[in-house]
Amino acid sequence: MNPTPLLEVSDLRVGFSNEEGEALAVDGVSFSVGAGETLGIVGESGCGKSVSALSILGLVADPPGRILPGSSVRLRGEELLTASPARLRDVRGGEIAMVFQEPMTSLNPVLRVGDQIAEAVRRHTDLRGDAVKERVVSLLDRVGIPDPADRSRAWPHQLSGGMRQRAMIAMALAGDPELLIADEPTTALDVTIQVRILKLLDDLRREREMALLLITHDLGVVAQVADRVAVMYAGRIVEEGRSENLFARPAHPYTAGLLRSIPDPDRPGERLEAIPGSVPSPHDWPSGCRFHPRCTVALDRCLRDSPSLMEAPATRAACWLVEETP
Amino acid sequence: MSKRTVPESHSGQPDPLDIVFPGISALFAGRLSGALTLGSWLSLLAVAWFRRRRILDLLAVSQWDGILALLSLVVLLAAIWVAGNRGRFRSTGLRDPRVGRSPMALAGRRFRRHHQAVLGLALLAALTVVTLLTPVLAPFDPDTLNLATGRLLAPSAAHWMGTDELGRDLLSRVLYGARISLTIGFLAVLIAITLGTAIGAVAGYAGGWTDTILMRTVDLFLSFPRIVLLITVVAVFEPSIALIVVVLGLTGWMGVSRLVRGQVLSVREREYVQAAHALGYGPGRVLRRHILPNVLTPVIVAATLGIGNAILAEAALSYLGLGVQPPTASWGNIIQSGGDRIIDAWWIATFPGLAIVLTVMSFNLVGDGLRDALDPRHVE
Repeated sequence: MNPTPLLEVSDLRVGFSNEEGEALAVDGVSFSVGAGETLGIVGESGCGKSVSALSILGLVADPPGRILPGSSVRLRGEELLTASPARLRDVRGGEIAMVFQEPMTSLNPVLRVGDQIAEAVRRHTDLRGDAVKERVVSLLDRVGIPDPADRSRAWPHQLSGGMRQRAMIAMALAGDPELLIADEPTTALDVTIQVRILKLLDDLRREREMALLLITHDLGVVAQVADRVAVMYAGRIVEEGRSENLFARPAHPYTAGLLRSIPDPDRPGERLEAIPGSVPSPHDWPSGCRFHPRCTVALDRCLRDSPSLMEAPATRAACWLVEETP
Repeated sequence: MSKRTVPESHSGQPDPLDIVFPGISALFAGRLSGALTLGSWLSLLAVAWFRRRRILDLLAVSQWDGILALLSLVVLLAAIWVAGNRGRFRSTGLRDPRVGRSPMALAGRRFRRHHQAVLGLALLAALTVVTLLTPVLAPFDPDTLNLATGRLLAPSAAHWMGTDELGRDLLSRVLYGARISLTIGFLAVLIAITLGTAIGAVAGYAGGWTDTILMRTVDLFLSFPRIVLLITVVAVFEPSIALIVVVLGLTGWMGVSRLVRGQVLSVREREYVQAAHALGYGPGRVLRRHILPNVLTPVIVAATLGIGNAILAEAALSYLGLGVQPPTASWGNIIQSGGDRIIDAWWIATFPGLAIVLTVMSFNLVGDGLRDALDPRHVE
């Protein structure tokens, strides 16, 4: 990995306030993304992965959200959390672009698709006039929309979910970003479309030497494209490593549980194992290791002490078992 | 395939009758639009023919409102002729099926299927034409007295709506009054909508203390009884049309701003607004281009209904003697002048009253139709 990564998030902590007080939805998350690399962040709903992604661009709604002091998000060494609003707006859609989960509602219904992409092109490039139109058509063409010149005049409601997600990707590419954050980009799509969108994202990353931060609850999605994977649970990263290592030899019981809950085509008919229970609320994270109430191999120590990431044989995992079994 | 994808039926071989009677070929083809085009063409020609001496007089006098009316007549005739002959100007009537209908085009189609709304719109269109052409149409000068022989005449062939106690022709006064009442309604609502939208949008988008201050201001304005405020302001200052417009506008924006704020609060959480932020757009651009257009449909409905209300408020003010001052005619002050003669000269209060009822009803029909047509739940 590069000595200065493209994006470095360290000790990110994000609190949300309600009547019960402030709860840390993200509690001390650190990760980095190298130029041209794909990092997958995996976790169940409510584990804080989307909030982490929004924090990178300063898009967490304040109030109720708040990024706590001590957190740091650095783009090529430049701190973004303390950047001026104007600088942050240049970064958004410029160096770092984002694609959201819901393609059906991510496009403005009253503007033609091409006009929305053109707006992004004008915002982040010096192109004007017909050059903007040409860029819009070439972007739509690149993301695999047939008849791009005609389609650019379509209204969002005329496009299918997959087409809209392609249009969203085209819009995100308008500023030629170095990092594309994709927050559950395929969750709302049909399975056949999911594969194509993932393939598109991976191809784009390769040809543009763009880094990809892929946020998903679907380990299958991550397995297809990610170089490295970080698994989040209850506001923390519990395991991190190169994806082939993490899938082959998971060290954290949570990761292992997630992997067992995926259907295996080689063993049809076998009952899937579900992880018992569900993710606790940020307002009452369990003591010690936050996974211990759902963990089948928890030790006494797990109830008291919170583990941090330590070197496991193939990955880095936040689990005391790593220490117990050398 | 809808019939709109079919070429205009006469685009290829223009019907020579259409040159003299625009819309007649469409009428023979069984289309309602043909009847409307031909009907308005013939009515306007009839107006021009029967009022030809008046038109010549207006040309001779060449006062601005007369000239404006004549210009309107010419423009309207030209527009109708072009509408009836549009096949000649369009190389092909085919829609490109790949280019879709805008959300507004879809709403327009729903509106056209709403028969009451179309009726309301037709009445309003007719009313607008009448207001534009008033100097041509009005049979008499609205302010000329006839104290000797013309007082309190019942409706007749000479005076279709009769005359008032000063011998003025009531039809002419109602026609001129329409201009005043409608102008006040439109302008007052324009002020109210602009102010209300701006305040509501800023309050909803900024949130926090900005929102609190703006919304408490709304509460303050709402807690003041509108008619009492109107009476006070008009009593302190000299009543004039401009003052009434401003006062009605400044007291009518609160509902709109609450409406807009609520809509903005909901729209700003939509994903496309978050996506706009993620693309680095500034708050002004996000509000103007991505939020406001998506909250305007209820505003359009509110504006349409608001014009009816403003006309009623103006009538009420004038009825109290605080609105438009005589001798300028407005529907409110004509009713006021006929109020105490409702038994022996029923026509004085009745005709402007009917005009108000018809106008306000038309606005309400159109407003209801718009609400149904623009309702985002009607996704096709």
